[in-house]
Amino acid sequence: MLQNKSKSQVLFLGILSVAGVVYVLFFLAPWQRSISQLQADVISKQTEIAGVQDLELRLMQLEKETVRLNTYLENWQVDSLLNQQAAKLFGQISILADQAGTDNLSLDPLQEVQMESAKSYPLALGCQGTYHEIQDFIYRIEQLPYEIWIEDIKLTPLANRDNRLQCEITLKFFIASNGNSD
Amino acid sequence: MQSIDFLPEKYKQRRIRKRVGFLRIGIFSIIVLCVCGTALFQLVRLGSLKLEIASLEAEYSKVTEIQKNILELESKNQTQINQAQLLTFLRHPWPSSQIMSLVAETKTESLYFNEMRVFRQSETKKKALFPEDKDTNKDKLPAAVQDLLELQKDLRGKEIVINISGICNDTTQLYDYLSKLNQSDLVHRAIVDSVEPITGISDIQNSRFEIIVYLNTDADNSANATNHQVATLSNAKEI
Repeated sequence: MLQNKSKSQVLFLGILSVAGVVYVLFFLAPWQRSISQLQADVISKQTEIAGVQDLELRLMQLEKETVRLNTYLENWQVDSLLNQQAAKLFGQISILADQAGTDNLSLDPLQEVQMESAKSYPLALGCQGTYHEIQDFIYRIEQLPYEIWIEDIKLTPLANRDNRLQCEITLKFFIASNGNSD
Repeated sequence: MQSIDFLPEKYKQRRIRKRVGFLRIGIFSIIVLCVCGTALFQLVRLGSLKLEIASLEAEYSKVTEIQKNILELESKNQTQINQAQLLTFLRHPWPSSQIMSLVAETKTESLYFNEMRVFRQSETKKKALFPEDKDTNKDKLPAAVQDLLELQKDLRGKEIVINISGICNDTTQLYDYLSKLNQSDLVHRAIVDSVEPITGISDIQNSRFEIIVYLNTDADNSANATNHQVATLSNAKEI
């Protein structure tokens, strides 16, 4: 009788323990994990939502910066669209030489140099004129809406001609290469 | 007084078993109630959190959209900034017409120039100060940055020089001319390379001279100008 009684008690405790372990392993712990994850998710989303004003401000700043950069790069990008600027530039240089009063203009395009995002076109240029005419000519070249680097200027007096000089200039101008960006 | 228990042993045992049974049922019920309560609490909490997340979803998707736009714009602007840096660098050549103006303005009548040349010359001392860059990661850089670095490398250690050779009939005028050149902000130093008297028929003592003028503008100035201008550009003032 007593043996039966203690057996049923052990069985009862055993069933209770197994049920407890099953409940903890398969329900309590996973659900608690899900709750913790969801809580963390809610907190992180709430934090990000709270910072929306800062993000909107940053976006506005970036948009303004984009507009400024586009304006600044406008000519550079236009050049990249019109990749045949060389002929146009030569024409403009001829006009400038006339306007400055120099004569005997010679233009000798040299081999273009392909860079990663740009091209440089070297150009050997010769002309004759007084010092001030040549200076004016160079000033006018500098004012052209191109990225022009004057690399070398050589002035020598012309024989038997008062105040007239022979000028040899090496310059190169840069354009964006086929709208290449990074 | 002695109490006499008239109940038979069988009834006593049954009563005890009944009591134990009730106790077991009670304990079991309490445990079941606790378990159900906890499960119910957890399920309710899960449900409420899901609802909370669902209610945040609209605002959150707006935030993620803004974040995505910010990332796109930052990447696009970085590309533009690289190009702007290159462009700014290209827009800072040495001021040729200013140099020519300087040479002419300070010149006196007694100086006659045979040849004048303005060009970029390698400077050995400066080259030693700027050793060659290690280009190991250069290919990974954006194209505009690669070009900028290449141009800066080309100009590094080079200086702009004016070489003037000519004839003067009064060497003091030549030194006055040099002194005036040295006072200009454009000029780093102007020196006489050579002065040789020309033996001639006339009584006037002419001298053949050669002067070298080193200018202040160099690659570093251009690089500083680039950084400064692009920083200004990014800092939202005006172009």
